[in-house]
Amino acid sequence: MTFSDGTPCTAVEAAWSINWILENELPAIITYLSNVIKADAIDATTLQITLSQPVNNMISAKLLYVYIMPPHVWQELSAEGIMSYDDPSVTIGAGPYRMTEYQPDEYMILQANENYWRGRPPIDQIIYRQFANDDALIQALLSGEIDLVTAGSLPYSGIAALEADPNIKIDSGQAYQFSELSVNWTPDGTAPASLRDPVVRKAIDLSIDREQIITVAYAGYGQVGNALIPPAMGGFHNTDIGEIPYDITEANRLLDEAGYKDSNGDGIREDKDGNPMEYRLMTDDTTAYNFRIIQIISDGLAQIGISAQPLVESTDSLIARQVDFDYDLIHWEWYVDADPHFLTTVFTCAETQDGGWNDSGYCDPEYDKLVEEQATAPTLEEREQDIWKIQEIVATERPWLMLAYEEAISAYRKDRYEFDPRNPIATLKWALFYGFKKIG
Amino acid sequence: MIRFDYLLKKVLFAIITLSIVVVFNFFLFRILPGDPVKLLFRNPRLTKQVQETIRVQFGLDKPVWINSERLQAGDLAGIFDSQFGAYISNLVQGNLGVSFAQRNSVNKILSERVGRTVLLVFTGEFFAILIGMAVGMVAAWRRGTWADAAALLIGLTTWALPTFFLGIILLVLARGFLPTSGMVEPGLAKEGTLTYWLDVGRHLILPTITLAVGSASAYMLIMRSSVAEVLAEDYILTAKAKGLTTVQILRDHALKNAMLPMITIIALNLSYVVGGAIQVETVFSWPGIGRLVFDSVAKQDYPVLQGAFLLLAVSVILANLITDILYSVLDPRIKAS
Amino acid sequence: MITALKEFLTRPAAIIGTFMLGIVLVAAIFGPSLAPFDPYARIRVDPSDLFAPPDNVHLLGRDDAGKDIWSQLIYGARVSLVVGFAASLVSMGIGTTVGLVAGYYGGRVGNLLMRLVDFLMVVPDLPLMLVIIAVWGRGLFNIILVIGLLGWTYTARLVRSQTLSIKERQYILRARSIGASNQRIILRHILPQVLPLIVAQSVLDISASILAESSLSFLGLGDPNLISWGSMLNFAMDRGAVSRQAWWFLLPPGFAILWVTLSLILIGNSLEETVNPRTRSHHLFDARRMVSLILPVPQPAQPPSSAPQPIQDIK
Repeated sequence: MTFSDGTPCTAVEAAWSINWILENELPAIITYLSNVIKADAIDATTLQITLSQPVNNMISAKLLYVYIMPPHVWQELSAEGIMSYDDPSVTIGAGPYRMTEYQPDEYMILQANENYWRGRPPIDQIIYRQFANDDALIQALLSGEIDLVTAGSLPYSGIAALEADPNIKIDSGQAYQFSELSVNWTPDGTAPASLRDPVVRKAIDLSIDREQIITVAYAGYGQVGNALIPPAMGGFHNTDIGEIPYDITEANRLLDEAGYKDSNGDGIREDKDGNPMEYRLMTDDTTAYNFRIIQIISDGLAQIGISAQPLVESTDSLIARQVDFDYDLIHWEWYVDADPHFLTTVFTCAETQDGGWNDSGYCDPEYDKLVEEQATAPTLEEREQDIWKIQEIVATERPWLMLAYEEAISAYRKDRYEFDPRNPIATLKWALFYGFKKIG
Repeated sequence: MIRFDYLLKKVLFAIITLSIVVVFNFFLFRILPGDPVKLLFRNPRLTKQVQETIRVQFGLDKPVWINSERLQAGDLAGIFDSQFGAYISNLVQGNLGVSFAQRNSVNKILSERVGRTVLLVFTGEFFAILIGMAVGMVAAWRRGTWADAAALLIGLTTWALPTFFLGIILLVLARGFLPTSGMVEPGLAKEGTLTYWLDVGRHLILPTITLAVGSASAYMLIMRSSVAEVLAEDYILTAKAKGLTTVQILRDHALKNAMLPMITIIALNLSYVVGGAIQVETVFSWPGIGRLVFDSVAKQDYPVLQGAFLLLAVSVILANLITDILYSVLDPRIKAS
Repeated sequence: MITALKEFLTRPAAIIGTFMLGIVLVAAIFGPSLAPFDPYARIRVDPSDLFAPPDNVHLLGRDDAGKDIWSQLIYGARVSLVVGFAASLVSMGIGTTVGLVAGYYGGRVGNLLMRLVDFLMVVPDLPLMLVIIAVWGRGLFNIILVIGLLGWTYTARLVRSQTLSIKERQYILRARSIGASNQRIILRHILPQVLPLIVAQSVLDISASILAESSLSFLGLGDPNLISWGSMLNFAMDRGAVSRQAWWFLLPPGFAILWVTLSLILIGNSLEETVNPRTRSHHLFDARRMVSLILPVPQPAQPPSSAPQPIQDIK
């Protein structure tokens, strides 16, 4: 097995790459090598990795994201050097394609790797184009200017136009993505105290019309959300957590019972200190459907006497708010790793510090212990059990209200190409261009 | 001879305006809410140490305007060891900083894109001026006829039409016939070849029409009124009596006299054209400065915004200066006395 | 005043413009009772409601969230007119004050003010607005403020040049000689003279402000909670109306903007011709407001910044 330039790619190079990343503390990738002490090549096809403690998801969640690089190119460079290194002639890998041209925000050209170990790939050249405008992307596929739109790039807004075209095939499937509503209930933040009441969070959860969100925002391509771990993660997804009903009556009853009454008759309930229940409901401005989602949430909240004006801000200013806990409710869309580990760590106490991912402020040492347990659980069954428990906790405490598991969709010209029927969502896995055949 | 003090005054004004733009540009980006470092990366998981490194790297650890600490210590040169001082000294060296979002030098990002916007604006303006002058002249010549009325009606409507809406209409109409997005089809041909430029030309059609129609109305209206004014003069009668043809009169008298207001309006219109370019580049995904400004606003990429805004302002100021000079060359009243 | 109004109403452009604006005004004032649906109402739709084409119930079809477009169009008039009027009120106030001060007092302050005007005239507006809104945040108030704060330069120059010529007139000199205060002269003698022109200019300003609001909203910097024609187009573009070929979502808001700006331009130009005799002989309307400031000046050779130096105030 060799790299695209013909130099060897064996366990020796793999071990070198892992050790080099560890030595240089390469940002981002290093996080996938936590607990790794060193790597050794026993022989050309055997790699030995030494760990400080057991890691049960080493391949699915860790090594998958660690690059094996040709030492003759990279050994001279430091971590800083690599950040600014932009010579396209050294884009050498062991994959089926190699990048030959790249214009940020515009396009990337991949050429077939003649030396690929599984044989020459079926397509000679792949041009990835980035469209600044969704309509232009859809139009390009309809007119045949492009052949395939990969999953994650196809806008939900364009699906209807593609469905109507007989030459286009749409593939869809569950994906490692979901959308949620983060509730800020840390006492250190600026959110009103009423959000710290579990009854209020439950009432909010019941007031959200999830079906409506999937219809309007995701063109019907999605499932209503309930558990933290999306169903795409198979056995890790807790199927015991039932669907969260859209039940305005029950939500109103809960609030009435808990003493949140609209005493001045303005249609908005007052909290226990007599302040009106008004929340800031935010989303980021990357897509227009984000706004529709919080509009639907806001509509639901209005039904239960809570006022929440939908607000749109840029992603960065929302992140800045999250760091300072300066928000009430934020809608986020997530694309995550295939392994559930990261998602479980979001609600640990450590993540509440220094702008970590824990935006709700939920912190419980018991929960932290569970997260540690699942990471080191010796069998898959035990790990699954831990992760199911974690989802139960999240579903009752509600630091996040899970809204939807949107599907990944891709589309291609079926008059020109066909995909391996054994793998109907082959197009979704953008890296696998096998089972891909040109027609005629 | 061009009046020297007139020119000097113009150059001086351009310099003063430029300095105001430079200071204003710095100030505008210092009144931002929040901590710039927090906004630096989408990943909020930056350790305190990394944050501090970035702060030093971008000079954000220094005082904003003047370094009074160093001044009090008796170090006069140290007074400029501030964010403002760093901004000016970088600017003098032509360094516009590093993009937050792309981690690339702003100079590089801008220089990659400036040519594309220049291409778009120049082609658009070229056709706008051509069409505007031709239609305006005909309208003035056939004043009061249906041709004049039609020209006025169309001019007025295109003037009131938002540029982006015109772009959308063309986008819908031309779908399937002409490329509606980008500047060139990637991977089609090597840059610089004939095929490449032909493809650029095809991509240029819709944005150019949009930009040109938006601008042409202004030129048409000004041409019409100034030619009409000239045609009412007595010497036109004399010229006619001398047996000059209509074409000769229009070319030798009307056109010449209409040039001055035309030049002024072209310069004044430039600020509007820049705004139009942002809209056109957004609608047609033209990868120029306008699109960059739009994207950078969304990404809150302040160094890029700062650099792009400076570039646009400087271009408009310089264009105005050139117009003033042209003006003084063309206008006998400034030359004399 | 009444003769001016009579004269104004003899102009076809004025009548058409007033009629066109009248329709928009009615929509803006009586919007909620005219619109068949409430576009701010709760979203409750079936998949078939999204982008539904026009029918008997929804005259202009429905949008990406199943909302009635005809009703949104009616509601949108309000935002456009409010932004237009409020922003041009801001620029009218600043422009008039700056113009009067610079024209009447002249001197260093006047010079400085006119340099500021020159500066603002060369700075490209739209990028600046984009940047400021990005920094200040979205919202109706910010949009009005930023459009108003950047749109007063033409008014200021107009008022200044008028003030310069009026203040040399006999009756002003006489008023001054009998000891009338500067403030009184400005408010009682100069302002009433300039006011008709300011009004004409402000009508043109409203159309420019509406265009600016729609551009900002289209670029996604409007307030998404308020239905405006620009934000409707922003949604239409972002939510795939072009690939759905949903012309009923794309065309109406654009034509609405065209309709109202055109009406204001017709009115503004007719007003200007009526109140400013100098422009009467030529150009039925001016190009982007600036033309009228360049052309009618008796000595057009002097570009704006080298206009005659104001005479020092006689005390």
